[in-house]
Amino acid sequence: MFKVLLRASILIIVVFLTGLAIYWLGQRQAMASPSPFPEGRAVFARPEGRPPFERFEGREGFGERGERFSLTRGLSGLIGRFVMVAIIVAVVIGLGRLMRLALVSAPLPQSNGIVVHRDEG
Amino acid sequence: MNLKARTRFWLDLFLFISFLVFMEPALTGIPIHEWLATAAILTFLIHILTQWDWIIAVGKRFFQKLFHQSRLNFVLDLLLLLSMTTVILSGFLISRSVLPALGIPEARNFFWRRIHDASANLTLLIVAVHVGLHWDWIVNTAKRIFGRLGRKQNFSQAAAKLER
Repeated sequence: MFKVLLRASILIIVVFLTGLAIYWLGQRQAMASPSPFPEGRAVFARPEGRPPFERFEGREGFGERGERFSLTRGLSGLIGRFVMVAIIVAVVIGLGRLMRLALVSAPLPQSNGIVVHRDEG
Repeated sequence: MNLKARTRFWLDLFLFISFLVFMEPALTGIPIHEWLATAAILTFLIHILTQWDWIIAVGKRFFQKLFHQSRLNFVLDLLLLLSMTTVILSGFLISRSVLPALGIPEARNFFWRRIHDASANLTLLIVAVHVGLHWDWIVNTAKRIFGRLGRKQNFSQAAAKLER
């Protein structure tokens, strides 16, 4: 139990320090590039002489539409990501098999007159 | 089959599915996305803790003669730790539910928002490669778990027939 706690503490410290380093690096960048919208929201100017855009009332912040709950959009996104992961996994497995095949069919090393035999069993 | 492998299998499956769900905030809405992801950090840490002996063993021999796939896995896992830490950190920095609930005001920052999106996508890519590299273990463990379940079911069906 003590060992597990010690390992967990080390891990948390490592994650914390890594996070701190990333924050330090990122915050310098963030300060260098201020937000284009000071209030954090895009401000749409209402055109002169036109009726107000009702659909802009209670508008969302920049990039928030994609985060609003929607079962259809959420499920389609989930399926899309799952398919993407499945394709990458298939590619990695395929490459792995190819590399294994290449290793198996490569000529065996021969040094100091000792012939190494491949175990076919 | 030992308990550790079975527990690890279910834990990893949970982590993988929950990661895919967290990647899609539209599926849950922002508050659930943030609270569940915060809870999943614990699962992520447990996942690393279960591999502790392997990490130490490979880490010690990293620059020595080592089987190439172990080295590849080690480098990939380090990248995964980095990108996951970035996702967690940037997630907290743009949090709209967790931090305000703890009394810390919401800070809208486009830089960290972009970093959150980019690191989440990178993490997804690394997770997919990670799964691909451990595919043999996943298939073998699944076969052992579901094979056992199937055998148990067959046994109970046969016992029920005998009772009749």
